[in-house]
Amino acid sequence: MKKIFLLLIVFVTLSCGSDDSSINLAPTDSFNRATMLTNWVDNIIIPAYTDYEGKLSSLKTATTTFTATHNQTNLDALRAEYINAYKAWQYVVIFSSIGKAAELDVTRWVNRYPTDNAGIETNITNGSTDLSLPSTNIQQGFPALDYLLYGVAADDTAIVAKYSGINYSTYLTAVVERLQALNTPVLADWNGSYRNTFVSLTENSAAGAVNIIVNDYIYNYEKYFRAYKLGGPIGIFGGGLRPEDVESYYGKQSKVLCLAALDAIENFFSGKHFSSTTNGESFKSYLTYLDTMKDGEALAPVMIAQMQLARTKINLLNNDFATQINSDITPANTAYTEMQRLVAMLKIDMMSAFNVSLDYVDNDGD
Amino acid sequence: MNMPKHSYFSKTTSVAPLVIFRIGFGLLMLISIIRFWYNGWIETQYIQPKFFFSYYGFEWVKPLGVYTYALFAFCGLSAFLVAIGYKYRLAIIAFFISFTYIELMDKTTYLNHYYCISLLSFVLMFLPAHVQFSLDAFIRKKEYTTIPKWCIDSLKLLLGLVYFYAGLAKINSDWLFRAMPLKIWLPSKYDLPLIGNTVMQEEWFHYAMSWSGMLYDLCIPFLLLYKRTRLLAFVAVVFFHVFTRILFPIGMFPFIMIVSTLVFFEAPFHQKIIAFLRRKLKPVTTLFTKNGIINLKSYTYSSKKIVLPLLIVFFSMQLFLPFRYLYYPGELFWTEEGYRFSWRVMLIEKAGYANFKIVNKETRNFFYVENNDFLTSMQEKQMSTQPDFILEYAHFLGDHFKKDGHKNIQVFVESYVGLNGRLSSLFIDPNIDLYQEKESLSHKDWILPFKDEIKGF
Repeated sequence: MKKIFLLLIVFVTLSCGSDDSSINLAPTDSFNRATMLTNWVDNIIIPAYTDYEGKLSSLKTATTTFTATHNQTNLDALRAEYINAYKAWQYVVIFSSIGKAAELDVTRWVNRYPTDNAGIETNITNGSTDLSLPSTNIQQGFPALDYLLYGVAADDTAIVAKYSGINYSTYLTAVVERLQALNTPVLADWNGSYRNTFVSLTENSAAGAVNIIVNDYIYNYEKYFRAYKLGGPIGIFGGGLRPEDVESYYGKQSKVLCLAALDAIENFFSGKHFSSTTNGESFKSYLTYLDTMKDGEALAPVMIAQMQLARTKINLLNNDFATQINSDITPANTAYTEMQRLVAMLKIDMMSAFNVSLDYVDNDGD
Repeated sequence: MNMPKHSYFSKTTSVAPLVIFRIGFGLLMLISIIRFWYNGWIETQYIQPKFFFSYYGFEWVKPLGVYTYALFAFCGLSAFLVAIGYKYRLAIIAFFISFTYIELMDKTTYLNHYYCISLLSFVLMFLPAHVQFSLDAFIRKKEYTTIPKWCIDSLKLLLGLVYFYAGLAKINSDWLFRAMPLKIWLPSKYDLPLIGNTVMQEEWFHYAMSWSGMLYDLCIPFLLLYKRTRLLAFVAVVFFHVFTRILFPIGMFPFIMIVSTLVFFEAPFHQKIIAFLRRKLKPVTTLFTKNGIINLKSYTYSSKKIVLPLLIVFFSMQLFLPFRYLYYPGELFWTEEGYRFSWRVMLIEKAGYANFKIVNKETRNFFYVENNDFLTSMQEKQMSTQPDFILEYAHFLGDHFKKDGHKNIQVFVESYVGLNGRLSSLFIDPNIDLYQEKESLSHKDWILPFKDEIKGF
């Protein structure tokens, strides 16, 4: 009997101990998660943030030039920088629920649309430029720039003329500077201590970096890509057709931005280094590694084919989604259906293969 | 019932294993309730959700709002009374009812081991687990040393059934010949020390675990029954449950099974534990008793004529229930018709995605539902892979939007499910208005057929 008790005690201790085991051996199997994390951070995340920071800086320069000398040439140059920066944003939004970006809640400020143009006009009239006030989150960011550069007057001449008043220029500058202020600390954090912290989180738990990235990636796809860019405006979630809800409603850049976002999503999936053709460890190679263990159809090629199909359907749409929605909704619905199909693959097939839970469900299993 | 004198049902045995079982069961249940409470799960699973999934026929069982805490307290208290054997009959009946009520409140939280606990407590209601070394016996100053043999055997039978059926369910082509779902689950445990990046990543290990798991479940009841193999079997039980505890988030279940398995040991083992406990308690007990307790020989049932047939019916049902799936067409793992209450434990990796579309039949206007407006992530996860959940939720949505003033409501679902590593595919017929479908025990013909074949039980 004593033997049995001893055995019981030994095993019970063992099993309880496993709960908070802090031993963390570096992975040495044929798929190395640390390598994948390093690839993500060093070749994708930090370069994307650096690029975005650079684009914001160019945007700032163009803003300064335009506010000093407001003419059509400078407006065109500014608009070009605005679109460049907006596209660059699509590459970093995937990581906006991680680290400093999450702490600053950047998505809340940078890209909430439709923008509040009435609020913007009031701010301009009152000369109020404090964009850290909670209520101002839809009076700033790219959607506000979109309004300021394309929507404040009926035509370009009238728009340029608006900036002869100091208030418009001041507000424009404040919006651009606010974008910079929201990104500089995020980039600094990644370049600083957070990089190593993140790369070391190799365990499979809610706090593990792979799990965090997987959850954010899917969240970004479902919400910022699928729902905001197309689903909402075509009335998928109720409220009928809402063409005014498209991204860049005034600048009519919705398709370009949507495609940029899809590129960012696909590149990250494939582990493609930022602005390079080299591929590193990624969801794709991780899935390929797991696929080799199970029989049946390989998942990664199916998912990439689905992304390409979605891109084909998006490409068929008008450059301005609002115009598309107002003229013929059918191609927009088709594009949405293909975007939607990938949600199921991400949430079911990829999550199952990685065996990470969608968010952290704290409960016993069977 | 007229029994011959030496028939099985007139055999007697020591009460000690049942007493130890009662104490172990009561204490573990008390700990389970405290742990559940401490983890904040009463709040997150029974108070916060806006909607609860019901079992067919038990739609009236709902959480009690803030009084749900009282229900758990009541359940924990009755578990404690069972352990100490005070007003045992009343306590175990109270435990059975409150625990089962808790489990019936939301189908989302169904776990085989909760069902197992409900059944064990049901059987315990009819067993004289309090006639020795209990507060009841102490107060009545009366203890019995023997009870009918079938009392202990009924617990062994129930535990044996759980294991055996769990093993039987593993005899299927996915489990044995594709090593699924272990091939998905084990490699993801790469962060375990020593084994995580070695055997956990090896295909042969996944197969070895699948096959040994199946053989273990099938054989363990028999190995526990025979004296010669019993100790070995118990070591296997402890090892198996501890190993699964390390791998999977299965809470208290391993400990409950390990302690329950002790009932298979011979009486002297349990008598030693009781003797040990009595020595420890002596300083307290002598304060209250002067004359000591009268030792009576054999406990006999006064209501044997009711209890025995009742338990026979109960066990017959237990034998039959896991096979009820044969009544339904289609693949069991896909439709899950007849899946629950059948000891299919940790058997499939299933994930789904269900997107509900509310349509106005007249205007054809539609919109999609955000599931997290109504469901917790755990509820959504369960709902998206199980047709009965999908149907109940569709009706809830229909009623909800009707109340909101929507008219001519139709509810459609676009749902995909992936099973054991297969690519996800359409699960429910997207052209069926679920708002018009009724829940019943008959086959749901709007579940799309499974595109592959899984052979076996």
